[in-house]
Amino acid sequence: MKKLLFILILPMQFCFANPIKKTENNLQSQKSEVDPLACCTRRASSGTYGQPDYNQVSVTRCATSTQSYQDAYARACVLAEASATKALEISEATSGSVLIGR
Amino acid sequence: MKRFFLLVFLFSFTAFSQNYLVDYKFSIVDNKDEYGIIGFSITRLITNKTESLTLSKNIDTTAIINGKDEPHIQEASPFAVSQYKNFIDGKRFSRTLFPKYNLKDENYTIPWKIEKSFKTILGYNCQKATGSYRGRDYICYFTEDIPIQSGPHTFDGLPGLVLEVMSLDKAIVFKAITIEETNEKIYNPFDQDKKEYISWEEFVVAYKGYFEKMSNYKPEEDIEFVVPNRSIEVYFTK
Repeated sequence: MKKLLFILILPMQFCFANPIKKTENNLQSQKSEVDPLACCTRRASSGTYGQPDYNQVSVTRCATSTQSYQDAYARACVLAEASATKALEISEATSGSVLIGR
Repeated sequence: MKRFFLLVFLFSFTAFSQNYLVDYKFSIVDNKDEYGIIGFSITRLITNKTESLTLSKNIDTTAIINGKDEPHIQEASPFAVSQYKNFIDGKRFSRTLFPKYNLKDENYTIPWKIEKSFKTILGYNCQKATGSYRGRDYICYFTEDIPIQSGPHTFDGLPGLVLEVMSLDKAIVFKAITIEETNEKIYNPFDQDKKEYISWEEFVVAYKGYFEKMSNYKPEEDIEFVVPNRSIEVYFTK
């Protein structure tokens, strides 16, 4: 009886295991089709390094590309550069509005 | 005899008012998190026994720091005044990033411990000293061959001119590269600004407020602004 059960169950394992393997393969092929994402950090600054007038802002931007990771990175850096320049303007306006009460 | 005394007087006056011009290579490479600063400049110290004037200029740099993919790139700038110190009343003055205010720092004195260790810098015999200053520990070397209690930034108050400073975390380095006598004038350029002076403590409180405003500012969903929380001094820990 035991032998009969073994003969029946063994082929069934193959039947269940195979579809699982196929699903894994599908996921992997789907992953490689996703557009690559890249992030880039840029900073803008004014003032003197090490002194209390030094003003620096860093901005990180991310981008995707249908072409390549390098293209996504270049796009992210263009975005980060523009954002950093704008961020420094905002920083200067923010520090310019500071009033110290006594 | 009168002529002799006159000559002695004139000589002592000249010796007392002898000005030195020292150029230091300055680097701040503090990248242990995103709130630090990276920068390279030349710090020019014009000093005598009673006061000093500092000018700074950024130097053209492209540097790969700690093997990171993105290099640090900065452009050169001309010399601009950055600090004035008066050793008689122990005050230092500078601009701040708050355009309405300049800094008058009266509590920057570093309690140095002089050690029995020596090395030669630019031909001068230098002695080691150690001390802590606003969040970092430092080693510095001073020379009694130039008996002026001066040095770059706030690193002064030793029996001779400070020629080298390094923080133990290696983030801050000043290294003298030239020393010469000079006739350059020393003055407080910040008095001309006609701005209100703030203390160091007031500066730090204001900076913290500015830091929080900038950190909370979100012009778009996926943009975050990061501003430093420290410079040579650690303003506060996040």
